[in-house]
Amino acid sequence: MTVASAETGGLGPLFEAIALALVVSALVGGWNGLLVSRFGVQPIVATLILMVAGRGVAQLITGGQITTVYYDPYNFIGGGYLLALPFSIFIVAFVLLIAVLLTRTTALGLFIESVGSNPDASRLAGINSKNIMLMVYLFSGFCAGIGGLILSSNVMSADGNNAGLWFELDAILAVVIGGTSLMGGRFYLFGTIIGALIIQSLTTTIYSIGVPAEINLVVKAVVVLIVCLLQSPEFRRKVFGAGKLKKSTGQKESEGVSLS
Amino acid sequence: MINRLSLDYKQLPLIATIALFVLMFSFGSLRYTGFFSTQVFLNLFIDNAFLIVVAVGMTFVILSGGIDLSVGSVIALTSMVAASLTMEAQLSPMIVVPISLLVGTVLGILQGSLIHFYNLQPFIVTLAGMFLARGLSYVISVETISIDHPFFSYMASTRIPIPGDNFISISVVIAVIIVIAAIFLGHFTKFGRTVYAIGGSEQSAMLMGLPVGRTKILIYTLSGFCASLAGLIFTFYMLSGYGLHANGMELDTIAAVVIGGTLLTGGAGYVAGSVVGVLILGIIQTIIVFEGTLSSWWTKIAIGVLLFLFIALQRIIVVRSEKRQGKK
Repeated sequence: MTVASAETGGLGPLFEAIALALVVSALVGGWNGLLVSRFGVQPIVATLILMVAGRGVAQLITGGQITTVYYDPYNFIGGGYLLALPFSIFIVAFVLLIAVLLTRTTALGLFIESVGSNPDASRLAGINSKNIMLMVYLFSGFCAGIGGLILSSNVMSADGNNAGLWFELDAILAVVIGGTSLMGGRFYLFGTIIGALIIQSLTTTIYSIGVPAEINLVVKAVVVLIVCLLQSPEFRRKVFGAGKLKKSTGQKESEGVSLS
Repeated sequence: MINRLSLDYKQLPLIATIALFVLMFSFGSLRYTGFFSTQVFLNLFIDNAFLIVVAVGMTFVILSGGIDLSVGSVIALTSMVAASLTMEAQLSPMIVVPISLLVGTVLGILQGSLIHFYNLQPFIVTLAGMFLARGLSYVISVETISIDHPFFSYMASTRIPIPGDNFISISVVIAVIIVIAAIFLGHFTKFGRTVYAIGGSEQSAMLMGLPVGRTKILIYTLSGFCASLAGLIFTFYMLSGYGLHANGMELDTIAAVVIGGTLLTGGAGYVAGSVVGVLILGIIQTIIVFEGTLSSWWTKIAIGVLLFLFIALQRIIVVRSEKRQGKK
């Protein structure tokens, strides 16, 4: 959450605020990564600490109130237009580009997948799996920071109580729908983008049909369970039969790799 | 590796926790007048009876190496179901209470079955359960439903006097019964031993012929039931149902269990330890109230910091004991 408290005028404060926010979020992500990679804490618990305590810190900073930003340039991040397109699209494209370049043109993506499928084996193969894990969490924190900037710039305020509340499931859902395995070991960045679009369509649909917005939570929970079930080998064996399973997963995997 | 560890390793976190509790209580007593009294101590139980009950259920889940993130939402859903059935459907508490208790139990069975039969990770299943329960309570109503019923008022305001001019509430009695039952269940029954065995190593437990699947489903059912019971106690305490009740209670519960000395990886820990863990969370809150100038957000931050410290302590202990075993 950034609060650009400067007077209107130069763009200096804007960049300062953005840089500060991104550094803080990367540090926070790095902290999670440190807990997971060096202390060996389960990721779910390590990140749960900040899920609650982080919100506590945010509330502490804003005093539990919504801090409104009176600084016009700040609005550009989430609400501005560039070449007739919302500026936030360019941010997304930029982040995606960096992620794709890093993971698909360098060995980094391979390393991440290998750590995901077996950290010990990767370590024995000479991959510094601890640093990879640290880096991944750092990047996740950094991305969450960018998301936070877009979100708060869109409404020109910082809300420690509600900003990003329950985004965790949305994010996980987008990734899972996109075909990334929850067990780790394979990921599809473009699938994630499509997953995010599907979720937003779902949300928009629910809003426009006129049912209470809170029902969203129920729908999303059901969708995430269904997608998880579809990923589970046991479930597929039961539903699609044992013989077919091996063939279809084999095909799917090769398709997936070639797609990305 | 983790199964055959010496006693001192298993008990160190618990000893640290009890020492911390004594330390914090004496700190409070020295700093604030009126802090050192039996009633302040008993109030810890009265204000945290629901947390004790959830933490007991969570202890079994964490002992088995799993996690249940849905408990906070189940509390909200139970309070919502109880409130709407009492106030809108005008049902008698004789029907409302069993139905409310069923809510979490059924959700627990579902979650346990998904985790066992389809081999899904506990965290994603219970995360979905968390959102499902929270969403369902909003489906019932987005607004707060306050309860005005003789039975609920009776449960909320009855004071059971105990010697020395002090009192406890009915909720405390329920919580104490649950704790005693859980200690019995955990340490003196086949179910309890199986839970520890699964936490130590699920593979070994399976090879030993223990009923792993049944136990796993039962663990999540138990946790769901405890969460529902806690939801009822919470409803007695707040006298209302609201979809945002017990927001973030998952962390409090997990923190209480971990601070109480249960290993996050499963296989070692005590139900009684979780009770001490809850008391520590309670005393943080009490100190913040007595201090008066601190905002409630500090509670969240303090719990987060404390949780981190105890996780660090656990890691040090595990690493040390692994090293020691390596030497042997």
